[in-house]
Amino acid sequence: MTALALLCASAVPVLAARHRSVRVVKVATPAALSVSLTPVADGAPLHSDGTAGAIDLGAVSYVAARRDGNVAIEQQSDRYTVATKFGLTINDPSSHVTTASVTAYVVYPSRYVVRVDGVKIDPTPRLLFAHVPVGRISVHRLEVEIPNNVPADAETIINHPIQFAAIAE
Amino acid sequence: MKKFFVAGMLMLMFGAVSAFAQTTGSGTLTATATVQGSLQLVFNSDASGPALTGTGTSNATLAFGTIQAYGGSLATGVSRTAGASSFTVSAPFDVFVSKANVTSTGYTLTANVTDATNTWAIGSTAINGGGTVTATGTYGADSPFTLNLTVPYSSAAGAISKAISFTATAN
Repeated sequence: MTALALLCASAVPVLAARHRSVRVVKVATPAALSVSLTPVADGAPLHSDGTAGAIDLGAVSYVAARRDGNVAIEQQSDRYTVATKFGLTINDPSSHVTTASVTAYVVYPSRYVVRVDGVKIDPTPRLLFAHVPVGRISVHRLEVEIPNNVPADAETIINHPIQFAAIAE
Repeated sequence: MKKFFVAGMLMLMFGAVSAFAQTTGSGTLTATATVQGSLQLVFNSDASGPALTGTGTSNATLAFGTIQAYGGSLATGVSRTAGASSFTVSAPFDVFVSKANVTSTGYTLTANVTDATNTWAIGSTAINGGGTVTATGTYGADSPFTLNLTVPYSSAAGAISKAISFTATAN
C-alpha cells in the first residue's frame, strides 16, 4: 500500500511538471552549428565574411577564353555550364557534433540551373550531403548552366544566392 | 502496472524534447557572373569540296594540293580555270555560325588575307586586304562558299600558304 501511494505521488508531479522538464533539456542543447564558405586554391575568387560568401565567376560566354584556369566552361549544343570549386566548413562551437547533413536551396527561382556536386538546387531545400565531418573543410563543385537563348545584349548579371543549412546528425 | 505507465510517459516526453532540440546552422553562397553574348564560327567540309583538316573547328586548313595551270591532276573537290595571264583554282567549303545570348537574327561575314602576289576571293568577293563575304548570314546552318585562288603565270613556282581570317558580326 505504501509502495502504491509513492508511485502515485511520483507520477503526478511528472505529469504536472512536463513544461519544466522541457526547459531543463533545452539548456543542455549544444550551441548552433555554423556554415562557413571559403575559397579554395583551384576555385574562383570567393569573398566571405563567414556564413555569407560571394563567388565571382567573372564574365562568361559560350566561346570566351577563360581569364584563369579556375573557372571552366563546358559547351553543349544549346547551353553552356560555368563551373568552379568552393570550400564549405561546418563548425560546432560546443564540439558536441561530429557529423552533419547539409541541405541547400536557391533563394529565388531563376532561368539558370544551379548545381552543387551535380545535384540541382531548387527553391525547395533538398539534402545535398550526409555524414559531413564537422570542423573540416570539404571542397565542392558549383555549376551554373546558362541557356544560349537568354539574351545578353546589354550583358546580364547573374546573382544567385544559395542557402546552405547544416543539421547535426 | 502504474510503474509502466509512468515510465512510458517519460520516454515520450524526452523523445519530443530531442526533436525540438535539433542543432542546425546555415550559410549563404551567392554566385555572380556576367553573361556576354557571343558568336562561334566553325568551318565544315562541303559535300562537293575537299575534306578540311580541322573540320568542325574555328581553325581549319583547306589544301588545294599541287596545282598548275595546265595538265596534272587536281585534288578531289578542287576545280581550275585557266585565263590569259593567270589561272584560278576553286574549292567549296562551309561556314557554320552559332549564336549564344544574342538576339540578332543574322550576321555579317568578312574575310581578310594578305598576299602581294596572288589574288584570293570568296565567291566573287575579293578578300586581299579584306572584304564582306555576306551581310545576310543565317545562324545555325552550314553556309556554302567557294574559295578562289588566282595565281599569275608570271609568279615563280613554289608553295603558297596563307591564313585567311574570317569574322562574323551579329547584325
